[in-house]
Amino acid sequence: MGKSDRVLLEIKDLSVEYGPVKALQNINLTVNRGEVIVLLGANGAGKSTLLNAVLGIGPPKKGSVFFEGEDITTMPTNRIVASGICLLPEGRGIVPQMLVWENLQLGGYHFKNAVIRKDMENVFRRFPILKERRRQEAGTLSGGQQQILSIGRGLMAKPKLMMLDEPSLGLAPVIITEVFEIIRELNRDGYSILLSEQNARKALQVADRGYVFEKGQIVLSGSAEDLEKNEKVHHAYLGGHI
Amino acid sequence: MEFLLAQIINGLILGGIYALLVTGFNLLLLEGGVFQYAYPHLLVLSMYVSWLVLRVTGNNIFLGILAAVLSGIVLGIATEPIFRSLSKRGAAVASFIVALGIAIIITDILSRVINKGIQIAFPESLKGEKALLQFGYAIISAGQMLTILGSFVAVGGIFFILFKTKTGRAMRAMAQVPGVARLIGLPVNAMSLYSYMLAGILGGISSVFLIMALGSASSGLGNTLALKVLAVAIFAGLGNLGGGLVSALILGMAESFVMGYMRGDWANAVAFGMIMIIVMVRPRGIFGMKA
Ligand SMILES: Nc1ncnc2c1ncn2[C@@H]1O[C@H](COP(=O)(O)OP(=O)(O)OP(=O)(O)O)[C@@H](O)[C@H]1O
Ligand SMILES: [Mg+2]
Repeated sequence: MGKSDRVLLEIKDLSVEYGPVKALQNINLTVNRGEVIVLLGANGAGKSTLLNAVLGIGPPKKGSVFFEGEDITTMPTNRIVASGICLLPEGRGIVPQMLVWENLQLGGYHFKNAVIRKDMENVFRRFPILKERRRQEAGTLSGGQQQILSIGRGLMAKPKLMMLDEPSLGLAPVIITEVFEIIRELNRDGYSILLSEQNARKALQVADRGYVFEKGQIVLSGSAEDLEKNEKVHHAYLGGHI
Repeated sequence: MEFLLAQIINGLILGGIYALLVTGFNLLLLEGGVFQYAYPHLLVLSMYVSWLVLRVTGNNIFLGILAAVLSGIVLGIATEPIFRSLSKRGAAVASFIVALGIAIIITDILSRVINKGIQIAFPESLKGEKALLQFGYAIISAGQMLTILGSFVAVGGIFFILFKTKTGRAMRAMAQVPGVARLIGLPVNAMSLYSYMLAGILGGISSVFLIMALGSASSGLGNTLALKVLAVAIFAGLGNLGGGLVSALILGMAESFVMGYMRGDWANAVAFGMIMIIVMVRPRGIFGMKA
């Protein structure tokens, strides 16, 4: 397999500024097919900015983004999603006043209704709780259920790369464990995953590789095992000693 | 009894036309993020286009109606690029100023250029005055029946699209959570254009009904209608589609009854008095604002 077949997402020299705030500076990052990649970093380090920038959301960016070898830097968001990248945004981003099944339908918007129906059955099989709640307003779901709905809606887009922005944010510990178990299963089923997390311990357990962000720059990167053993990571994100 | 019936019919006609207008207005507010004050002015422009076409074609009714509806759609779509960048930047006040500007320019053009600024009159044949049903003095003419049923069907169609189709759900998602709509891959630009088109269709259709109901038009009609539409929309709660329909009927009926039972032209004073009271008691309208 050549390099271009192996590399799914390639970010080259990416910089993003919000006015005077340099949110990202010269970021280089790759996701290979089948990998789980984690982005670590404190609040405001630039993780969300990066995930949004991949989808073409946010202020204009310098540098380039390639997906499956194709330059998607200036592509409109809906075409990027259709080409196989989905984002599960920070705070889950469900449509609260719409029903659960309607939220799912919107995830597959660019597909024909028959395809959507079939995919929705698959999502229901994977997450029976969504089937149970399908006629309920999404806003009435618990935080964990909303996160599952967000994942389900992402799957409806038939992505090759799923980007999850802090999926554990605001969830109870048991639910967090469940969410990471789902991420592991998704990866086993062939989805490549780019994950932003503050819960470094759990994230490094499912990840193959990771990047550590500080003030918009990558200060460290490597395999999940190496990062786990790294002093700096330990102090900053794992809260203590080995 | 017959007099009462006549007022009810009139109220339904007014209510139907207001329902079309407030639905289009709310659509633009929800989808385009624009407080489109000039929406009724565009519709009056459609009436004038229809009048010109009628003159040129020797009162070809079919072409006159077609011109009204088509020009409604074209004018709707044509305004989208004007508001696009403002709406993307969330510049609500700026977009309102632009809408006011459009309204003033249209009013000025109509009061100076077309027909030397004199009120235009439509051919009698367009009014559909043939009585369809008669109850004593109260008559429902073909034109009135068409207006009532047509408004009902058109508004029903829009609600069907919004609540029962995938595209409509995407449009509602865009109104409720615009940022999310974009990042889950909904084609937000195309959908915005689509909502301008739908509002344009509603405007075009209501221009036909207004031609039938009024038989004439003048440059000041846009402002009069704009006030009514704002009133209905605010009365219901801005952006509240379902509430807008109920309020349109309430205002239409109220106006019709005031016109029927009170001396002189108190319709506006009573209607706006009612709205003042509602807004003072419930600043977000009787049904509450949406998105
Ligand atoms: N819309 C915005 N306007 C201005 N500055 C912004 C905006 N969004 C983010 N920033 C700034 O950009 C930087 C990166 O923010 P970002 O949200 O990407 O960080 P993050 O790593 O996702 O943080 P968190 O863990 O809090 O989600 C921060 O300094 C933040 O203040
Ligand atoms: Mg973030």
